Amino acid sequence: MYKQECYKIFTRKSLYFTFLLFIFFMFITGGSHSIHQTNAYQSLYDEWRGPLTSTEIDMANERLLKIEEQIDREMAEADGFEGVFPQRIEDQAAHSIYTSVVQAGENIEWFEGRKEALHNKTFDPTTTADQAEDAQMEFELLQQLNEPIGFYQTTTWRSTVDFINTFGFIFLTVLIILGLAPVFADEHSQKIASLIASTKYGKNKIASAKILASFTYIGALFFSLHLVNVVIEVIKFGRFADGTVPLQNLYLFIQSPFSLTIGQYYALALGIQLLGALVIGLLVLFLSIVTRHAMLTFFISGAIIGTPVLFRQLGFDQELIQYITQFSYAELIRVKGLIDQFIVLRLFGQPILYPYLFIAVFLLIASVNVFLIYRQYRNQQIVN
Amino acid sequence: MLKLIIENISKTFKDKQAVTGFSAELSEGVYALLGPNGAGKTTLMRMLADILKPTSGRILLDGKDISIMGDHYRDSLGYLPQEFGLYRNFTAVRFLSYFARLKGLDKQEATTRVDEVLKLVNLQQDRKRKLKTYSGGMKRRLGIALALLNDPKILIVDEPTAGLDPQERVRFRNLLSEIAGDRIVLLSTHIVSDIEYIAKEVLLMRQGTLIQRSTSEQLLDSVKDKVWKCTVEQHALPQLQKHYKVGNIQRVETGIEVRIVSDQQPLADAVNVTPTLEDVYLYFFNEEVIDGVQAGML
Amino acid sequence: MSRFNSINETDNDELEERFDYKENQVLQQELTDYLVKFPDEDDIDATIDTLRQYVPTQTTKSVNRIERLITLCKRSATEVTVVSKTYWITCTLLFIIGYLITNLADTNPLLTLIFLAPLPFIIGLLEVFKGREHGLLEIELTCKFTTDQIMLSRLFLIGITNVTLNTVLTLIISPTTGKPILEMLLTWLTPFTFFVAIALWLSIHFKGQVFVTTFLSLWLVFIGLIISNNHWIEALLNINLVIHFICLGFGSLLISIQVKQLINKYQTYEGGQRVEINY
Ligand SMILES: Nc1ncnc2c1ncn2[C@@H]1O[C@H](COP(=O)(O)OP(=O)(O)O)[C@@H](O)[C@H]1O
Ligand SMILES: [Mg+2]
Repeated sequence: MYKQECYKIFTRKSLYFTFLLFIFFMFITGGSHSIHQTNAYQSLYDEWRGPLTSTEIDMANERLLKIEEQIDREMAEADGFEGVFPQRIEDQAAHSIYTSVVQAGENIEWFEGRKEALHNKTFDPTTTADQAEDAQMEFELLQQLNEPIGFYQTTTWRSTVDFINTFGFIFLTVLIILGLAPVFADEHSQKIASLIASTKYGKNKIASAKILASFTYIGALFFSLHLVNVVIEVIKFGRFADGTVPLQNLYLFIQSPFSLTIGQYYALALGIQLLGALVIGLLVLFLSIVTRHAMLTFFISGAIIGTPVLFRQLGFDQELIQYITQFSYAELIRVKGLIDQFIVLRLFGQPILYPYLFIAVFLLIASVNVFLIYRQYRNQQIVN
Repeated sequence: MLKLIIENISKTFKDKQAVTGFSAELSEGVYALLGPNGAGKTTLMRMLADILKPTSGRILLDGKDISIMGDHYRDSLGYLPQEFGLYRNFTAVRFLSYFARLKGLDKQEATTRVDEVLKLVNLQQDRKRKLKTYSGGMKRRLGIALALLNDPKILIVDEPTAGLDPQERVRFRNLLSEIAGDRIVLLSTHIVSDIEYIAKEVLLMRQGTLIQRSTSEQLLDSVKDKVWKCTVEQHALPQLQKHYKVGNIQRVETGIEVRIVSDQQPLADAVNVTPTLEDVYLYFFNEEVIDGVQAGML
Repeated sequence: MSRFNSINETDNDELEERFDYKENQVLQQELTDYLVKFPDEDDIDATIDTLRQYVPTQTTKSVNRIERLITLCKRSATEVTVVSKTYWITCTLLFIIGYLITNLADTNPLLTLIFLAPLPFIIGLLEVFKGREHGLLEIELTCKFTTDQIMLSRLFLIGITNVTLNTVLTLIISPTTGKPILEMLLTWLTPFTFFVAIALWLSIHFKGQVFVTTFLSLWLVFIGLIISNNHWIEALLNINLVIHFICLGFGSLLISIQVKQLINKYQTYEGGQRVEINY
């Protein structure tokens, strides 16, 4: 049974077509600074790589100033010629590195400032008890981080991690909806539902088989998409390096309070995204049973998943809408929003970290969803 | 001893009563559900096939409500809907194996059983062909094979002979009486000749209710003195059709020979003839006469 | 109905009067005795050859392009009533939505136009393939206007509708952008041709539900890509006119290839059947 259900999903050519087109999209977007691949850059990078002391940062500042003067000079000499300045590769590499180091220095400063502000807030008499508790919580998390920020060249990692919350989640969602919308619905459009429902296992085991096959599809899709992505990232940006440094070194995660390395985050994010993909799969399957129509399922699940994203893009920020966007399917499969900042929510007066509450909520939703799928499928009446 | 009891079941769609207070008790043997289009045959059979819930009433198999039996009931059920689709890109074997698993056969059983039923419906040569290349009759036969796959104790077939050519129809009838054995077979039809020889009992259904239930002999008996034959001229025919239930019409040398079902003698020169089930049909379903005539002449 | 009947009756009456049973019987007997021998092959061939000269030569389908276009237009006009109301309503709604977005939201109106342009066409394609989706192909093929003709005229109709709607919208918003109208038209027309070509390809190869969902997905992802990338927006909105025309030509070529394929496919039942590769 399971094998045949897989066969039905995996023989749909339109899915392969869409998948290939998406991969084409992935190829044509983004590209690397070629300077990162040069020897000059690499040797200087090895020299500067690692945590930064304040003297090092000052030194970098000085050298950057010098290079910038040089650039001004060269540009004046070139007299209107177009080109890249500074002209020497070594100088370009140095410019790139010192800029990054200086930036990292600023980030370190910002991080220390944030800790201090939190510390003050805890003791500030004007804050309420709840706020103080939250601030204390955040402060403790940040304490665990030690000094996370340094100078690391994480372009490949950044892009790979970024894929999860940009194309990755969009492509996954779209392909899941496309692939799973017909799973139950097509039995009706093919007029085979009555044949199936009148067999011994046609009301329970077949649903399990279909869910399992759907999960297989999601899994296969998930792994092939990320595998292809990793390959593309390596082609575009070179090999992976510095995956063992704290997550906060990625600019998009600089506010994250969690003590994770980049590699750990990637693994965790993949895990959560896979979970999200499966949960969305269940939603689509349920709609497929209820609507009995693949296209309707496509539109409804698209609306359920897409509306919160739209709200956020359009910048609605009423409290209710914020809750909706915060606890949405899209947020789950994007993953990033769970980790990249400190949000604490109160449940019966107890503070609880947003990602924990979020995952709990969606595990609940998923189990209710499974229950509903079986119930709805068992009780369906077939009249055509 | 197998016993299927249909207890006063009704089915109402939004505004339409499709089946109204239908009760019957079936034991082993072939039953024919006979009624014009829209009589509610399909709806009744769907409820028996456990894919539609009755609005009221219940169905019992050996004293147990089938909606409670669930799996166990469907395990002994073979159902062939009036209209059904096939996975176009599956081969016959793949399709049947898929359903064999759905019907709870294990792998080994499935393989042997698939072979058996394919032989039974005479499709061995085409077993490896994709179903989209099948002709209408072959699809029907495949459907029958499908229904027989789990060796069901209760076989429900909804207008199985529609779309079969005469030869295949005969073959199918023989097949049914062959396999009838110790099961309950319920087949619906509006083609009377289908049931003439094989049905143990005929259930006549009209507008959702059971109007008569008896053996075909009894049915024939009930119209024994009511079937007439006479020859008239062409121009008298419309008049005749207006007043009587006219069955077969045949052109003969001296004019037109018509078969009339009527309680009284319709014309002076009309003679009594031995009734057939077609006459029975005509007798019971007067409003749907046109339908019946077409069906009979198929 | 009644007229028919009355004529028949009078005919019958007349026949009745003149009918002579004896004569009839004699005639019947005579006819039964009369044996018609089956002619041999040569005779048949000779007869056919003789008759051939009277067969009118097949008129070439249409004398010239303009005439062909006119018939197409005429047929499209008749299709207006056949195309379902939902299509027209959706088109109107889309137009209003387009108008609102371009006027109210602070997005670039041209960008909105590019994104919204292909939607009426996609929904229209469902109408084009209505027969196929409902299993009417076999019947349609046997009608006076064959499937490919019907499809072509509907395609023409929805294409014209779509382009007209877009043009009207362009004219409405043209004061706000301050660009020359030709350039604005080209800005959406070029991507539009590519969308149409892809949509046609998909619709030929997959059944309705599949191609609409697939196309919409691709369309959404395309929008996402463009919006998330400022360079691309710039590039899309400020293409050189020459490149525009080249792209437009290429897009139109793709469309015409697809249309040819469509016609070839739906001239026969065989071809139409091969659609819908789902399971
Ligand atoms: N899904 C439905 N919704 C509304 N009415 C229905 C539905 N299915 C069947 N009916 C009505 O119920 C009646 C019985 O139909 P059906 O059981 O198909 O008759 P039969 O099989 O004897 O031709 C018909 O009048 C039909 O119009
Ligand atoms: Mg029926």
